[in-house]
Amino acid sequence: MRLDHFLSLFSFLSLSLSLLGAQAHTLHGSFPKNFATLKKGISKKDLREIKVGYSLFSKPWVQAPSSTIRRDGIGPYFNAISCMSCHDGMGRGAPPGVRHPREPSLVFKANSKKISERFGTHLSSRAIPDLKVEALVSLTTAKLGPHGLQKPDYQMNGVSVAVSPRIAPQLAGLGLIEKIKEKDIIANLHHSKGRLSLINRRVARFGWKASQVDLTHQVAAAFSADMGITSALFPRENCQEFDLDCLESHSGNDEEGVEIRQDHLGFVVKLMRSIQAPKPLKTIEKGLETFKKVDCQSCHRISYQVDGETIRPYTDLLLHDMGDALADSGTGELSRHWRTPPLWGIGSQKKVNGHNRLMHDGRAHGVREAILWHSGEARQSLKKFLELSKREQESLIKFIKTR
Amino acid sequence: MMSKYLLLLSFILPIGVSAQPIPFERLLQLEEAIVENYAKLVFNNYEDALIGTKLLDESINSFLITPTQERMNSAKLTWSTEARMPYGQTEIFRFYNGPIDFEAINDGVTTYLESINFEGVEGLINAWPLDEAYIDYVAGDLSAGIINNPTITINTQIITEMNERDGEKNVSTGFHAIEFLLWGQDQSLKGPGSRPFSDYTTAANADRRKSYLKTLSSTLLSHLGPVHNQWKPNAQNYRAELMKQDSRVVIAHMFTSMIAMAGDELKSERIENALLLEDQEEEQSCFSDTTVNDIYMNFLGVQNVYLGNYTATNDKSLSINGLGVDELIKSFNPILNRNILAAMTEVESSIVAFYAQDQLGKPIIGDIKLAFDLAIVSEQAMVQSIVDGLDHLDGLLRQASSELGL
Repeated sequence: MRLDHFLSLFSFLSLSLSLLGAQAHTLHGSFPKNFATLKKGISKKDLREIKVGYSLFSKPWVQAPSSTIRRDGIGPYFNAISCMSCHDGMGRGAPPGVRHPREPSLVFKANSKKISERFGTHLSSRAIPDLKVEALVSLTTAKLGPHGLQKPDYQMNGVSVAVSPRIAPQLAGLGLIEKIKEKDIIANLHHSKGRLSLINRRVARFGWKASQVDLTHQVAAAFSADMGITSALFPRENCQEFDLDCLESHSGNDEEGVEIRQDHLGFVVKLMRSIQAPKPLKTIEKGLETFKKVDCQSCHRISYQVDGETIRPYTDLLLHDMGDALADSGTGELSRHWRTPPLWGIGSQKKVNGHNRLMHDGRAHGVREAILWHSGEARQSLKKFLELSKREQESLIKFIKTR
Repeated sequence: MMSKYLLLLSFILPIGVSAQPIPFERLLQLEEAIVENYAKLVFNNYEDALIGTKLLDESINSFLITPTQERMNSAKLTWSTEARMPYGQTEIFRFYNGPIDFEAINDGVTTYLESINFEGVEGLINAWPLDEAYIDYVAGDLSAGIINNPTITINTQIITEMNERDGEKNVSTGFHAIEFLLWGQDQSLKGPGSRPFSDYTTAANADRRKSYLKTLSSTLLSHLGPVHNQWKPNAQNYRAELMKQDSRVVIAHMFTSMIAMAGDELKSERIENALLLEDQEEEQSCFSDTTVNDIYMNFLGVQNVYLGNYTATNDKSLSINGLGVDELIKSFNPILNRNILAAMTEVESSIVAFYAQDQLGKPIIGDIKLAFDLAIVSEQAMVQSIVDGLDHLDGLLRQASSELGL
């Protein structure tokens, strides 16, 4: 038997194993390249609802009016027609050109008055056929960043524009992050200069800028901003006051006057809460030592206790000033601040999503570049990293690459 | 090596089960025969589906040349019988990254289908829900769709690109797009959609509609053809590569697909979700009201693979009655096999209850007495009984696969 046959046999067997385990519940269409493995001990009733959530998550939404009333109302302006388009396999999106030339998983928020007055808070790359596409932002990597890294530059009609790019984050494990106690996050303030993001006196922990307090808000915000699907939390279509075509377009409203009913949104949220945390590929103690030596853990806090179990997301969920090179263009108060992203899932990213792009806009090719982009509050850690021996650097990178 | 494991399993059966352990050599032969028969079954089913799809294409062309009510009805009947019945049974060949739903996986291993840059076309053939307003007018927007936008040229390339652009699956091709153009939107619980045939004669953009339907039909054929080719016997293709693999790999595929179809796709995605979302048009074939056929054919697919049988719709010479995995289960846990067969009978009877009966009380397959959309709102217990039966079957198939050591 030739080696490649053996290997493909192996990968198919592991595929089957992951699907067939008598106890393990998988979701429709789950391939090995998928984070969508459910946590254990899910009741039959919950499983039914999770499957509906998965269907609403993965199947395309269609234009209104349509026969399928539960699935219509896309747009009028939108970036993607399903959650899955960007969160492929519940994993991470990529910048344009990595998967597709016109990539739905990198979206843009307006970051200047001029742009927001014209387009609103979000720029959309697509529109229903009756409307004109708002703005096509193109990506060039002509600018030089620190350490000789390529810095993305976003342009509209050939001119650089003040927009804030945001890549679709990986979703596996978010349910556990939601369960981290507020007091644990607050306690993280002792370990760094990080700041807390508070909304209505609750800790906002989701999103690149820590702008959502829980998964319900996060999911509803994504439905609204990225797909133009209205809900009780975001009942208005993303139309500017002067955009009559947008205001007059058909909506997919149902009996609650919104495009996704609150209980159906709840099914999608339940799905998010039921996905297992990504599993590390293997434990490399040597790398963990280096991780601590460089002081990564003061922001990428290693573990928490959740429901009596230890989880290891590697984040403090606080906002940190990360310096100018990473900052959003524009002058917003928090343009230099980013919420520490969890590191779990990086180990499976290549397999699930087929690429190694990291950071809020996918600018980093792999872990080393991601580290080199760190500055601001992370300057000391970066300095320590650069002072490490080549071997130590490699062991640290390997440690992160297997989370 | 795997087979030895199976042999081992056959010795640790629960007490009281009178299974005959099969000698190792015979077990290998049995597995290989099951796999051989499976490959034949897949090909014959696709062959039957391809014949049906050609008949549909002819029927549509004949309608488009001379659009009459009679010819429109005839195209509809070909769609729901000759074309859909065999195709619905082929859906069981999804779920293990075979040709129909193939997706390249970036894992450093180049599989055969990756090496020939094969493209899985399931999304172009059978995806759902259909983006109706993307194609043609709908209630509430009479000028909607590509058909009513003369600035867009209608050809295969354009509608295929629009269907799957940059990883976004905008469903505007395949069986359900054809269904929409033949039946139109279903506006009532009393019957299917009632698109007038004048949509193809005197209505606005009738010529563009004709052109779209004709293109859909030929595109469907061109998508199904390459999948069929990958299963041809005695060719250099996916089937030949698959037959070189350990027979247990193929048996694992068979179980993967039976479980995915019975438990996830058919039970949850296609039936139970409609109950939970409380939408009567949350059904695969919502324009023609033939979802009951889809459900029955999908179920038959599971049963075909389990038993190694196929009953052809269009060319009886394609029917086969061969060795299925039931032989394997029977050999080490006959009670489990009996339970699986009983569960299948139970599911089948709960589905055929939706069909009219002949004078002897036998269900007339295809003659739908109670449409799925109506059942969703008025006969939920009947729908629930299919769900419960499939749930039971799913559990038994999982048990079988785990006892086989898959």
